[in-house]
Amino acid sequence: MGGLLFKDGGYFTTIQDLGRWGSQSQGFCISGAMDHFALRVANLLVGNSLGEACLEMTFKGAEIQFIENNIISVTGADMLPEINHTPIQQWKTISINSGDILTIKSAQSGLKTYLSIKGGFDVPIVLGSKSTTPRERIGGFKGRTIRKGDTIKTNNNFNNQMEIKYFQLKDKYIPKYDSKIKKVRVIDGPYSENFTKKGIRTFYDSLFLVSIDIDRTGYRLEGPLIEHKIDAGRLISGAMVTGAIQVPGSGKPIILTAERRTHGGYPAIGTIATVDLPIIAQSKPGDKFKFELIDLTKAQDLLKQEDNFFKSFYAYVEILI
Amino acid sequence: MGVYQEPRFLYAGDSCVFMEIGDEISIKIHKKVKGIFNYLREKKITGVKEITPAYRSINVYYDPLKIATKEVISQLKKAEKVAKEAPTITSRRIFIPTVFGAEYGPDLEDVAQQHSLKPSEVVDIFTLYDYLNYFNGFMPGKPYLGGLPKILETPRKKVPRFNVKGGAVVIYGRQVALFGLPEPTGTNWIGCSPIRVYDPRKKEPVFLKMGDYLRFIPISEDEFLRIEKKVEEQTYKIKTEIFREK
Repeated sequence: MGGLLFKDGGYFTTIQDLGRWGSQSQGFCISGAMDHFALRVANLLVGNSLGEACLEMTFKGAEIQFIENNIISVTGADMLPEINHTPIQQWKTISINSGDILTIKSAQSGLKTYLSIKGGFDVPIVLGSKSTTPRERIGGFKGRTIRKGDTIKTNNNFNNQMEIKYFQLKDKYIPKYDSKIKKVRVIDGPYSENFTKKGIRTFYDSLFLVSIDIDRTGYRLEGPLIEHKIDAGRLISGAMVTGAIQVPGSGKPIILTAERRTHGGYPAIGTIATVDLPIIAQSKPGDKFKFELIDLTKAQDLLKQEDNFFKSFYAYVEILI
Repeated sequence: MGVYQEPRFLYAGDSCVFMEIGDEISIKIHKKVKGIFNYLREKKITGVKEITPAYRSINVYYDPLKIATKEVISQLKKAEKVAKEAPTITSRRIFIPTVFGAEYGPDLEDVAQQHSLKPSEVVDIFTLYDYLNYFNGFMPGKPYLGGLPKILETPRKKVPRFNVKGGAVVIYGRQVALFGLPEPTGTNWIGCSPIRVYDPRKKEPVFLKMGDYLRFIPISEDEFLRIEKKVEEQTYKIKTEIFREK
């Protein structure tokens, strides 16, 4: 049994896995990592299962002292991590000695950084998930963000140092987050028939700016107003999906993210392909999106390609000694 | 208006399909939704991650690597044909003690004024009816209640309120809601109940079920405080009875 002592919790740090599925009909949101790609890579680099819970850090990372030896990996936004003041690389298996201090600074490019621990965090599984939803006061560590002074237990289920393999994701597979204009692929609807032709053209032909109003619930965008048909700004409340781009009466789009509500009443002009959700997660205020329409088959083919990447993950890494 | 001849299917991204079976909020559509929802939930289809109900749709979240979208749609079509309307005979009637007006319901005066009624008359009318929980959603434990009489139909506020308390009783359009957690909202806040529809301390944190009928019972502030304390200590027992639909 190991543990992490937080010298600093960072700006907004929570424990997240791939989400709390199966309880939306009781009103619980899915939650989970905003960037599923970075989370899964972090897990595979330490030999965890794909969906083990990691620490998700936003904008500014945490400072952590390790109580026992550990194997970790840091992925996602580049936050200049250091161990005992010596820089370490991200997207790589790293060994930690008892007493080491890991300092994760602020995001240089991208917004969210993931820390995986071999064996995972020893926190309760609530309704099938370790994901934290602070608004619902459940999951992760005490249902809240992590603060200075918290100690979180980990499951160190490895005994023999010889069994540990060290990997580094090859450079060309590491996502780059620094482009200012990001292409985001979307599928039409649901309820795009509530917009005028002009509104739909505006959506696909314009650049949309990420506003300062972004969080794990949604990203508000700035740009030309998207025109609805008359009185089509509200529907009978229905189900929601993560990645839906809703347009309320104001004409300004909102992308629904991990902690979106289960139900809502605004029409979506389009829904982001699942494989492109990490692009949203890693975007900052001031970045720009250009939406590109694709069909369902294409979006699902992209998911298949991503799945193949994870299935043959060890073909895409350098094996370190 | 009403139930569609054939259901309508909508892709909600690459991993979710909505099946819409009608175009209004009605008990008839609700019963059909509930029947299909229960049927599918018991079926446990491989590759389906989750199914949720709404007023007029059944929504299937699936893993397209494990089940083809076509197959999801054909399962839904089959369920729509096969599933019986949810049985209508019994459900629960749940009594929700509620203080109305003043700091417990700051919009009561305004709602009364909009309908040229006295606040006490709004309360009298409001507490006369049973409100059906069409489904839970939005946030944990929050019911989507319908059945507000036409005379109390009230539009949403132009400027949303920053935060209502947990336990807030609100009306909007011809709908009613009871909040489990504090939340910003544009609905009209008329009362507050000490009971918690969401209590993360409990093994089953969500109290209300789809198909429950809620009846609001006016109580005094003293009673509110007394019940609130019992709820805090987890010793309060919510009054429920068997409800038979007409």
